[in-house]
Amino acid sequence: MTEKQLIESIYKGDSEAFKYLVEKYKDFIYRVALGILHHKEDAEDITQDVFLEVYKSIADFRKEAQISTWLYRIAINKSINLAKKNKRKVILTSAESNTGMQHIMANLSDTKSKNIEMIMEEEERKKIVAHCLDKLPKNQKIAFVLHKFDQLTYIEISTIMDMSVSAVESLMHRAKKNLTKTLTEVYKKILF
Amino acid sequence: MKCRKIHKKLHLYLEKSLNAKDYQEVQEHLDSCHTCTQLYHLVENTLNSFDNLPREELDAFFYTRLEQKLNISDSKTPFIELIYQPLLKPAMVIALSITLTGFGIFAGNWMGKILVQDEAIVDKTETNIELLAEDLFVVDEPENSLESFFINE
Repeated sequence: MTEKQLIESIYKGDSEAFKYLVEKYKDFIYRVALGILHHKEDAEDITQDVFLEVYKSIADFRKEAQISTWLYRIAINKSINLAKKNKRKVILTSAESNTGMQHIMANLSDTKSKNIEMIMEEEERKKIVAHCLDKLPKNQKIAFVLHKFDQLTYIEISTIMDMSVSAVESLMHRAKKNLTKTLTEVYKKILF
Repeated sequence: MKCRKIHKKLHLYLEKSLNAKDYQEVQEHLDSCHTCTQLYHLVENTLNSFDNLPREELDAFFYTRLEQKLNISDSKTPFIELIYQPLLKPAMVIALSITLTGFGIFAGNWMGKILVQDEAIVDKTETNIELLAEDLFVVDEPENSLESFFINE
């Protein structure tokens, strides 16, 4: 079944076609949402919302575009909006923010005396990675997440983000540089 | 070279974009400083971990949950949205036209009845005035006027 036929079938109300679309793309969408939000339940909610929106507005889909591009764009917009909302909620609910750097440092404050391997424990590493990713500017974060979490090529990312391939290359280069700097700062505070 | 200077150059060292002299200095420091070597490895390992991220996947029941949500959201469609649904729209237009036409007919009848009643009241009032005028001899007819009464006298 071609993509065009798939869209036509969903538009006509074929639930099997819709199921096929969901099964084909759900994990890709989930990983992007997870890369932006770092929260499994939120990422699943976003994935559900993406497919609900697709189901309701399939008639608005431009058939000349790729459905994966459309899905990724919806997922990115929804994830970024939720991340902003979550950030605002955290700021409003806690007078003294215990997220991000402070949270990581609180968890790792006594690790200096422990074996350094402890720092690299999966959960702690994830928290540090999430903190460093959140420090990236929006477009650098999106490009990085698409490339690293979903293994998309720079060409695919350029289509999704509606920019040139060289612009994506530049975003990726700056993202890596910024990540290295932030990681150095985080680990420096733990080790020194 | 001091540790602080190394930290500033560490990202360039990792990118391999330092000049030969600086690269050599950082290398020598890392060979002699255990903590800076640990820092270097932590950063490098974390960056490398992005190339081997686990392929996170949703469980097999995701579609079932999505389907339930779709059914719920369909049944919760507000009435105002139902009006705009393509199938219901023509039916709603027809129903609205019939209602408006019926209302127009009813309103026309009601207004007509009120006008007829008003005319009847006006007619009755005029008749009463004429009768009264006749009684009082003030009917404005030449043969019954006061002047002709006195002339005839």
